[in-house]
Amino acid sequence: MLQDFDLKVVTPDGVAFQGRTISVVAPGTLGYLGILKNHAPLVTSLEKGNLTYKDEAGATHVIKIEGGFLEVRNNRVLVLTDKIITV
Amino acid sequence: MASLRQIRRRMKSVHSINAITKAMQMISTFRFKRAETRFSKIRAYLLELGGILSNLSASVTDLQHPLFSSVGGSASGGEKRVVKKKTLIVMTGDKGLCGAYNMNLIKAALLWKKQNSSFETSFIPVGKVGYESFRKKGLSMALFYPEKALADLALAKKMTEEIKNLYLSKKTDEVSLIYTRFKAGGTSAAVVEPILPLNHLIENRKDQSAPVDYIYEPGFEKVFFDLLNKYLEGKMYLSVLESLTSEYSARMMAMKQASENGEEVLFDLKLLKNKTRQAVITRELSEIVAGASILV
Repeated sequence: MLQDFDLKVVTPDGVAFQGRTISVVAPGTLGYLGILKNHAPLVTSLEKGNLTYKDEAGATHVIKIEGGFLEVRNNRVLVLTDKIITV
Repeated sequence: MASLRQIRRRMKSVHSINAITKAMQMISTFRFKRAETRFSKIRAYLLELGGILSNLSASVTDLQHPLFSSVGGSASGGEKRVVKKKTLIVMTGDKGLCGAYNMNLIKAALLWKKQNSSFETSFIPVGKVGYESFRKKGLSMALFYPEKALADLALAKKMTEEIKNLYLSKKTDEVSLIYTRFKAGGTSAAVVEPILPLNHLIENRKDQSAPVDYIYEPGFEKVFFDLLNKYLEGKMYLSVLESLTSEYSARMMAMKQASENGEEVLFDLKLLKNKTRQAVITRELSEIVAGASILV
């Protein structure tokens, strides 16, 4: 069974990504952090950097973000960022 | 009765006014759709941000932050501040021709001034119409943003920053916002909402959700305050866009009405023109007949 969970990336210009993922690596203020299924609830601010996630098929995607916030709760990862530079 | 030529001239001018109002209606329909899309997107963003914020607010106990006030003995600290000076941000349009949209806002702003006459009041007009109106009335303006049409995140950020500075430098003790809330298909109404101090953000959320036991990185206060700042920026952006959406919606309605009125006037004028023309023909005929009868 896949160890997948929800990821949603939202900017003021709309929802940039919404779907199931296996892992997320985000540029936290204290350094990059990885998130897998059943991560404890977490709120952190994000720096400018690469948000990397693996989709259900195992393919890796990178989104460049310009700071923001990340929340993990009930196997749902929410990324709020001002701007996405490239997808 | 007006002469045939006068009627024709009037018809021509009504016709060209009609063409303008129709074009404006189409333009505002297009702009309205665009503004509404932007508005609904930022609303989705702010909703998510607000969600995190309410989860965090539930675990707020004692805060020390300059953007909070402890007036009223609330638990969330900040320095004590007696409210003497109040500021109102007024989001009007850049242009007229949108029915009572701007007038309602300015009227509501003046009412607010009257209600708060025991305080020192000042305004922050956003949009040209509001700016001009307040300038002519000689009301005190703390800041002004005469251009709203280019509403983007950069403008919202700049506004938030400058308004925050105004509060922090004690030039004002309370900031509220008045804008036109957008209601799809319905009548939009001007509403007043509190902005600073930020107490209102926590207070109405506190009881809504049970505290979630989060891990905070780098720390609760830092994350929370960053979030609050972001929220404030987002809120400002949202209200700029929402008032813009309402403005276009109002202009759409006003121009639709004007076009319909124009059609009506045109119809009446056409009737009058035909009647007049007929009268002229009848008169000429009777003159000819009368002239002929003399000759015979």
